[in-house]
Amino acid sequence: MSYWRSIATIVRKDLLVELRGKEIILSVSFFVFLMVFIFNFAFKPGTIPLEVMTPGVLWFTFLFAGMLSFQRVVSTEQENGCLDGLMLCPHGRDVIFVAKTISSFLFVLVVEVISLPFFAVVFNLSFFPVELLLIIPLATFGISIIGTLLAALSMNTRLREVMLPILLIPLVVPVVIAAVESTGNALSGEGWASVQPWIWVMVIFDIVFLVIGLLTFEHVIEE
Amino acid sequence: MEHPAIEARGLSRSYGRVKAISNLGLTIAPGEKVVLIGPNGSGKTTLIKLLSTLIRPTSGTLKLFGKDTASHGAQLRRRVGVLLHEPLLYNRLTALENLQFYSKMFNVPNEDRRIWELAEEMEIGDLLKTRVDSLSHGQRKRVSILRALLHDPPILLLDEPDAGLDQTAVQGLVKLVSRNGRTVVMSTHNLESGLSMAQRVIVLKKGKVIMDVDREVLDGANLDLGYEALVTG
Repeated sequence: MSYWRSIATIVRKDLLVELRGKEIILSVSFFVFLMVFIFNFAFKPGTIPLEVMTPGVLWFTFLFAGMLSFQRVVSTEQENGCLDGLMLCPHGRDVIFVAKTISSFLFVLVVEVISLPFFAVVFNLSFFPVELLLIIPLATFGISIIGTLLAALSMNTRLREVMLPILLIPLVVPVVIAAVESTGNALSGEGWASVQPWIWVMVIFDIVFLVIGLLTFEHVIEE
Repeated sequence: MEHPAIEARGLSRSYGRVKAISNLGLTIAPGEKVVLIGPNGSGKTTLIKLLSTLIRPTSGTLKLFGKDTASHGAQLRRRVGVLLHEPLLYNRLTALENLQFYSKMFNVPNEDRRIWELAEEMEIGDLLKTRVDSLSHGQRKRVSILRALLHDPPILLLDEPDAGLDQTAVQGLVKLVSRNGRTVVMSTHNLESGLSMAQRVIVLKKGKVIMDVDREVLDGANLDLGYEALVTG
């Protein structure tokens, strides 16, 4: 079976499992709505310019939503020893890593798409910058790569709920900074030229951590 | 010359300071049916997991059909069917959806026909459309046995397959796994069901082989006593 067909089969299975339980998308969307709602009360209107505040709030919320999703996507494989089932299939362990990263990415992306209109209403955003169509997937993919790897790493630890944020947040700082800066520039209407350098930061970040994940995932899940 | 189905040399596996398998040597011919017995903690499950390539040896070499598992793991997994303690089935999917998923992963041709044929043979056709979380332990075990057989593997590794199965199901299992000249390695605490299938009996203790004999050599009537003496002595 080809590499990509195996990946597609695992992703399709993850989507089917989620469709049955709706655990990730429903609970994480609810979490995002709550966060946005609370942030709206936390900042007094007019004290901080919207284009300064909104990108930080947006990515802070998405990062925490991601953390909830990554843990769940990986822990699904722990019930009934399903991770062993995947590891017994005739493919390299990197197939599991890529498939789980894509599943995590898709779940977080769906939550982001659901919550963006709510975000726009609460923070009074009058337009949707087209640059976000590139910024959001790139940053989300970068966070998903590290999130999946670290969720697998912390899967068998006693304090896994605490371990994931402790390990994840310092590592995603570069991609979150790039996402916040580029989102801010896009919301200010500064155009592609101001966004482009940050896009490159995210692309390089995604490539570097994808390679690291492919090289290390095997050892992470086997031990 | 035909390669052994399984060939282990100096195989060891440690978990921290604990040696689960220690310097184990083992050769199993194609088509041979081997039963692994031993007390709890003797290394049966670790050995099954090593043979299935689920875990790597700490030291030593392991070859399946002459190919090293360290360098040909993915390729060799296609030729191995594994039944572990846990069913390896997704709770929220039906038995059929689980089996279709594994069929795709193993690229089983005519997957639905294969699933239904095996299900009829194992008399679990009526369970296929039930969600796994609604199945009993024994039913999950039977679906899991079907999962292990889906891709018609020449090597079948069974870790206590009789646990949680009724007598009829155990007899059916023995019949099913014994055919097709398949190599079978089965660990069990149930000497009776183990011996009904085995051609060779290996007794493990503290990660080492302490007895390796042909089934015919054993006197079934006194085996319980002999086994007790062997593993406690």
